[in-house]
Amino acid sequence: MVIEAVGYTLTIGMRLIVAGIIIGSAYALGALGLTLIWGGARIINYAHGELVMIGAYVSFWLFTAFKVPPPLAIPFAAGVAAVIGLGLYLGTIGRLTRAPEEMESYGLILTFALMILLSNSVAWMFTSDIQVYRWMMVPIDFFAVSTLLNRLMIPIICLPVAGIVLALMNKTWFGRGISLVIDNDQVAGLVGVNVRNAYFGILTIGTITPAIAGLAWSFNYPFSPFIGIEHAILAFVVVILGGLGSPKGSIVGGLLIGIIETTLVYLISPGLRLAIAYSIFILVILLRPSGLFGRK
Amino acid sequence: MLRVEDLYVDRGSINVLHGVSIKVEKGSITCVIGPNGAGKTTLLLSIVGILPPRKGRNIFKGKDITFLPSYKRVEMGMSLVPEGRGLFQGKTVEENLLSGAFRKEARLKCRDNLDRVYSLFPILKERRKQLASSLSGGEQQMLAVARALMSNLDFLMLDEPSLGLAPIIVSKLYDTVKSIREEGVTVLVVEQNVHQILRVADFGYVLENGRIVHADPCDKLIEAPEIKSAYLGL
Repeated sequence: MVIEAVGYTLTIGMRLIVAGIIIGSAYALGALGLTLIWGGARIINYAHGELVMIGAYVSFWLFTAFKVPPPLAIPFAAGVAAVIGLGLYLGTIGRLTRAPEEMESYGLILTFALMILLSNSVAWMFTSDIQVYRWMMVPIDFFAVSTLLNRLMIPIICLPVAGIVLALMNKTWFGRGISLVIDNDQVAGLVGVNVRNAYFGILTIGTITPAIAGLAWSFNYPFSPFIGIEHAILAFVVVILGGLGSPKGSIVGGLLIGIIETTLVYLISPGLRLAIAYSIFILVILLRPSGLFGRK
Repeated sequence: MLRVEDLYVDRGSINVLHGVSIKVEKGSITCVIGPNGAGKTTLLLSIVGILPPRKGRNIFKGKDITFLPSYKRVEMGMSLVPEGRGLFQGKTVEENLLSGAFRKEARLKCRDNLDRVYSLFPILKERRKQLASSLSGGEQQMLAVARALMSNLDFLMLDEPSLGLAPIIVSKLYDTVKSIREEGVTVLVVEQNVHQILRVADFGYVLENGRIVHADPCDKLIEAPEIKSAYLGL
């Protein structure tokens, strides 16, 4: 009896952790973009959730119209997001020679406008109906946990992309320049970093990653042009948990939030999903405002 | 090494520099002294490319750099240690030093330069794992100078290096500046602490209200009656 009960709890625990990592990997990749733009360019990106939504729709459209499997749609989703990133760059840093305070208010208005513009244009193009499409919806067993192959594709897409971004940040001079700019852009300029290019990198990477997360999301869960806000709220929580401006923090934070959320949703109620996220947010602010990997 | 020609620089709507011209000879220690608000920091920020001039030219190693972005000037071998040291406060001592080697020419020599600055400043080696913000004022200043050296530079600019430091630390710092010059680095120092710098530097300019009012070798400047009364309190 006892052994059976322990075995049962272990299986449930395992299942929750796997489910948490699956969903958390999408949170992690999405939040990676937000932490870069917020911590690095000091712009609170209100359109963050809309980038997730755009990624979902690019993949949806390519799949339903041309039968393009979602992984092959990554370059297209990234391309569309990069164009938005370029627009953000031109609208903020590209216009101002040197005035971070102004950049914040510019960024605020610009991303807010972008949020409305993106969700409304998608609603106009695709209607505001909730969309679903199926890809790789095959049951499989993974570490004694039965799940669906399309679920498993979320981390298979998101984690390598997050890994590439981390490697870019830590191993290349361009990426090191970005981390110096995140720490202090004036000093970064003095040690020889091309600050404008670094900002351009921050804004394009910061818009591409949530779009790819949205792409991975789209063949698993229903979406509409107005799902942005939910993704944005979660990404904000992940960024605060991981430490503002820390790419590593957002990845660890995303996976953690995924696991905590699935566990508590299982134990209490699915209706509490966002309430759980915000409880974590409040706890972090109270107990460790710098987040897991924040150093300031 | 550096020629500043008839420089006019504004900060916002305020005209700070009104036609400043200075010359820094290769291998020298040159200083610009003057009271608070004279435009000393503005001059350095303009040389390093952060404040573009309204009029005038900056010529570095014979090349007109007036409109070159900052990072290209760093590539050419100049480095500014800004007022308040300008460290990455959230990074460790060693991470700060390594960030100094961002310049392309310095990347390959990073390890050698690190050994060199550690032998020049042993205290930094002891503290290499600490956050820059945990260092004392003197140590932070040394870290800032050391980071500049990591870029394998040949022209070093120091903005008020003695600010907030005990006199004994200041003279130690200037000893270091002298030994840096012995290694072939040209130095431009901007100072309010006139006493010490005039004994270290070769040539000095006096900047008042955005204009150069004196230019002489330092041994002459130290004897000039106006300087004595205005800056040395004699």
